[in-house]
Amino acid sequence: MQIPSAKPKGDAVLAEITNFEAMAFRLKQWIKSPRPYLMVAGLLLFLAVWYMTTELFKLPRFEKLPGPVAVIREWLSEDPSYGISIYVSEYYLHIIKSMMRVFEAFGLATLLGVPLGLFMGWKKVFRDYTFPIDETLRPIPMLAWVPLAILMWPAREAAIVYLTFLAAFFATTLNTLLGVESIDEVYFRAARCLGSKPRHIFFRVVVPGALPYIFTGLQISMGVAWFSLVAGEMLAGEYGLGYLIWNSFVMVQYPIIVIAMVTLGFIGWASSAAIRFVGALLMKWKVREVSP
Amino acid sequence: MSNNGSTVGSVSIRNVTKIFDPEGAHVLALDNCSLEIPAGEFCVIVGPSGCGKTTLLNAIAGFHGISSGEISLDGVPICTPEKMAEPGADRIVVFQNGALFPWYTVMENVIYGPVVQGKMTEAEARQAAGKILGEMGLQGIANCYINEISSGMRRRVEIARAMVNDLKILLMDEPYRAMDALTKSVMHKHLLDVYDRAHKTIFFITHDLEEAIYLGSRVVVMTTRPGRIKKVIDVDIPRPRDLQVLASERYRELKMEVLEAVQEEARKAFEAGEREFA
Ligand SMILES: Nc1ncnc2c1ncn2[C@@H]1O[C@H](COP(=O)(O)OP(=O)(O)O)[C@@H](O)[C@H]1O
Ligand SMILES: [Mg+2]
Repeated sequence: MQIPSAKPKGDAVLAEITNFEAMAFRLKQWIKSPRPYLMVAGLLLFLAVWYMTTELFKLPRFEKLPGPVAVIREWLSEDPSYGISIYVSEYYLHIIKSMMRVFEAFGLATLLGVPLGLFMGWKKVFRDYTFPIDETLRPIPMLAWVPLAILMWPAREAAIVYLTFLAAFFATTLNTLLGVESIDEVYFRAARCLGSKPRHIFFRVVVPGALPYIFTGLQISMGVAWFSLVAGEMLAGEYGLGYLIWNSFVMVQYPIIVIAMVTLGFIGWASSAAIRFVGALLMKWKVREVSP
Repeated sequence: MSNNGSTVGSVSIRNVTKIFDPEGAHVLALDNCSLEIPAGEFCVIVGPSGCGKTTLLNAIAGFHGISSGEISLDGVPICTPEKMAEPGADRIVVFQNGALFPWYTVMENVIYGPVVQGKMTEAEARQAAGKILGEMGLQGIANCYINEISSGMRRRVEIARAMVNDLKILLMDEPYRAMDALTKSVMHKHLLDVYDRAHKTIFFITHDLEEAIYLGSRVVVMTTRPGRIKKVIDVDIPRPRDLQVLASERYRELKMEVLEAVQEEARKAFEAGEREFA
């Protein structure tokens, strides 16, 4: 959180240029390094092993699994044999349904978890009330909540979102709390020396000081949200990628399982990247710290 | 000479005793310390490690209380055993390892005080900060983040962040401890300039005796724990001071005098089993 400022335009432009140049520089370094080539090689190797074990040699145990050729053919087919491909609107319906659920649960978890964590870290008394409860509830695996979730929310939809929310909420609250505790005492002292009132300490020390941990928490929260969502959808879904995976298994439509898995992987990566992007915007001081 | 022409910022420390953890370990950190610091004086405190220098500074700053005695600022008691001082912008601390907010730019750090105190609008504060940064030769880094500037720059910015306030006394706790000799000498020149210009009282803790004499108007030597005031040495070297001072006869005499006082304490500390000493 910056002190709201009316910086002269020239500076803003300069900062943009510097950031852009830093990005271009890093990209260039990256291309020069062996990393991108190793990554491509690794991917090809994986595809090759997958192809050989399943489709080429049909090794025992692997022979039942869908191979890369079958998966990709199905995925890109205008007339898919099992009904799911990039040309079929139902595919996107599953994606959107899952994304909406995660979005709701993650959003709610962030809106409640970040302020709760900030207060817990800031006011010791508040933490004394909540920390023991939080600590006991947190290690309970998400799946153990399923029966209670269904009792609480007889509608399946709400139960799934609730499960997803719980997982995300604990991760966010805990990391935010750790974030506040990570702030060096000396900053609180400095802020008090400079005449801060409690609200200044909250908004100008606690919040920005905890931000790196908060964003770590949001990354973890997003990860566990997807994890719980897929579990929830497998158990009680009607739509969604988790449901699609389970349903395709039951219906013996194996290539779709892999299509849904890869889709999950990609969306999970993209949501995590989106959080990093927002984090970098809010924490310019961190970004510039690592730039060359 | 020590007075620097200022009228505010006199500190009076009377019979101050500080016991940490009186019910348990009972660490007597300060034992009946008395010291008068006139307005505008550059007062340097030296003494063996663990003798209570930081404890004294923290009591003035308002980070903890005292067990008996009284500390007043310009004749007003601010810290008594009943009521510890409230930290405030009249007594600003420059911390040993620095405490600039890394999430703010240099400019945002410097305007912090006047803005949160409601003393200035943000625009006014930016102007005041710009002026001070300019005087200190720091205008070029105003929009840098703290991690982007050197440790020497950081110390200067921290002093600027303090000086932009309407402060009475600047409290500095071994601010140059971890620096190399070259950076240190640049820092000294800078601090002397600030002192000569601003007419503020400075309470400066150090381990470095040469630094103590070069900067201070008086050097206060503390005893091994429990900390008492052992000796107060007037540094009658005229200001403005520059590196020439270090070559003068008077400087060497004073250094000898301080060294003897400190060494006696250091030996006691050593015998008492303390490994590190001033
Ligand atoms: N919070 C505390 N509890 C108990 N003992 C303390 C505490 N703070 C400091 N002390 C002890 O008080 C003595 C003085 O400490 P300090 O003022 O930090 O010394 P220094 O002169 O090196 O700055 C030391 O022996 C230290 O161990
Ligand atoms: Mg100390």
